[in-house]
Amino acid sequence: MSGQRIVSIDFWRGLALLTIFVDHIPGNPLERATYRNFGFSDAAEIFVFLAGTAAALAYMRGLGSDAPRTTIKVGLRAFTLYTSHLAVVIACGAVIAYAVLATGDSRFLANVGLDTLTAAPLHAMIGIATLGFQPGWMNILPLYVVLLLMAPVLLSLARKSPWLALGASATLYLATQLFGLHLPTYPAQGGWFFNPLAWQLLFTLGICLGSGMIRGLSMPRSRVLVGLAAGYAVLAAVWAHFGPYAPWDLRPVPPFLWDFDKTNLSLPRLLHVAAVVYLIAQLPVIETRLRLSAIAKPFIVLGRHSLPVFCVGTVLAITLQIVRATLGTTVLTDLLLLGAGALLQIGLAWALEWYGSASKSRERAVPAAAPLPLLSR
Amino acid sequence: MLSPACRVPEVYLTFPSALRHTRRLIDRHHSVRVLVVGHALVPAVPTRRGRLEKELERRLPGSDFVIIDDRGAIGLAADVFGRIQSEVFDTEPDLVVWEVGASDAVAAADPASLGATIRDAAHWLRERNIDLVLVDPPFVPELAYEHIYWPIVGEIGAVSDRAGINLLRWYAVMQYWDIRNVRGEHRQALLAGKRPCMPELLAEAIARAATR
Repeated sequence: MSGQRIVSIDFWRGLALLTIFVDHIPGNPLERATYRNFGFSDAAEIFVFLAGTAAALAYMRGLGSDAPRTTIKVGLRAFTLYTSHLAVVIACGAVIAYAVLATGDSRFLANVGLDTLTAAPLHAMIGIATLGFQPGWMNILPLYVVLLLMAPVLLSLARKSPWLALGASATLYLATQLFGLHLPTYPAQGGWFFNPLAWQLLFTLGICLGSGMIRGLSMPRSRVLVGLAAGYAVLAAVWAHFGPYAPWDLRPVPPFLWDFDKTNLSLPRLLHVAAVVYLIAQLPVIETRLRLSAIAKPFIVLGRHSLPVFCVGTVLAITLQIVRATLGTTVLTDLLLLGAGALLQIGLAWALEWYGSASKSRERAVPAAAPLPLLSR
Repeated sequence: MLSPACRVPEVYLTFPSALRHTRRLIDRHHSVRVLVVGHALVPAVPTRRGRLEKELERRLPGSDFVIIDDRGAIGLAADVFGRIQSEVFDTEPDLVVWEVGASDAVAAADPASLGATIRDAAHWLRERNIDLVLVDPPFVPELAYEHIYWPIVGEIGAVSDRAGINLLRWYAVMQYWDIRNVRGEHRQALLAGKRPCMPELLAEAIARAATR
């Protein structure tokens, strides 16, 4: 690796972010054209997989040279995600609270599960702080927080051998599925919408891909594998067209082997995202093409600033849900609202990009300029 | 049996179909596991015994109801049905109470798709010998955009009528009460988005359908 940032990861992450934004506004006309309509998995799976790859690229080398410092760095990143999640919950809560006050329609609260906040405010506060209470459409970041907290262990294992990391991760995944392990919700009973103990396997797969990239390895090319992956992806696309339901009941075979449970990332979903990633990796010279493509640029910039873009996108999506309900909707207004929302996110990403480059330039310039006052004495 | 503030015409308490599986369990003095998909029917804090559980056991002496809360099921009916399937495999309920339609209304979703999802869900649950009770969304008066709920509530009612799916017509109940004429604590609760009478009405309708 040349040390240059891999734009493919940023590109797919940017695309996943916009897809999540569209999917988080149910009922809009573009919702039917997003990735989840063509298979068992959705943008959340892609996002988590890429998060694993990005974590490997960002932290794996550091864990080899300075493990304690890198572990703290990962922990601080997890804390940033945690505070970002709290900010998103507060901002979305404020948007919904305003809508309820302005209209007198408290159904908006129940629509995202925030009615717990009015029914049991003290318990809800504890739940929000401990991530036990996750309002609807605000449950990906808590998953990511836990995955990052697990990352130092998974990355260390993957440094020794990707098979070791995969073995440990798959064991935890199996135990989760077979024994119903989960992180509890609070104040309500139950488990998290995204069970981190199951989703960590996808994160680890992403780590293994990143680990391979660091070692200069490429995805194995095999016609059999390509055929199997393509066949599975096509089957999933046809299946999804007729509704993502399991018409059969194969119990006592464990349901995770044959149902489409998102919470515990059932095997058909996991295999689908693995097949799609494998097929994309087979595309020729995608990195070079993306680097040169003007169309890809906005997605790359979005992916590069995924956290702030995701946070703003979530608040926008909740706002647009309410705007659509209260002001009415047509295909044209939907497209305008979605376009405006996407442009806002791209604008934010460009602004952060500009700020980042400007800061770097300043940092480079400061050492030369700083001695001047000393010299002039 | 209903408290004065919760009285409604008989028609709202009569389901089109008997709850056969639930009745069988009650007759045999077995526990009835109720999966509640929605927000207003179970207490936000599970340490408090829920009103639905209390009201059911009061109406059906000797029965034992176990409420399983699935507050995480948020989104369009099609997505929630996917979640219900997983919950059914996981918790093996005997009766599913599903508050359906509010998210579909807010999303201006296609009513026909919602109807198809409800039919699929009812069929899927029936195949597994699980009873189903639907609850449609609440009504809020004097809103300029209330019409977005009409096709959704209409479709839920039509599917219920055609397929004999049990439905608590909560939207119609709230229209019948007309919050503008309701006074006191009941009014405050309704304005705050709480549904003080819903557990009572639901328990009454379930008890009638399970002893029919």
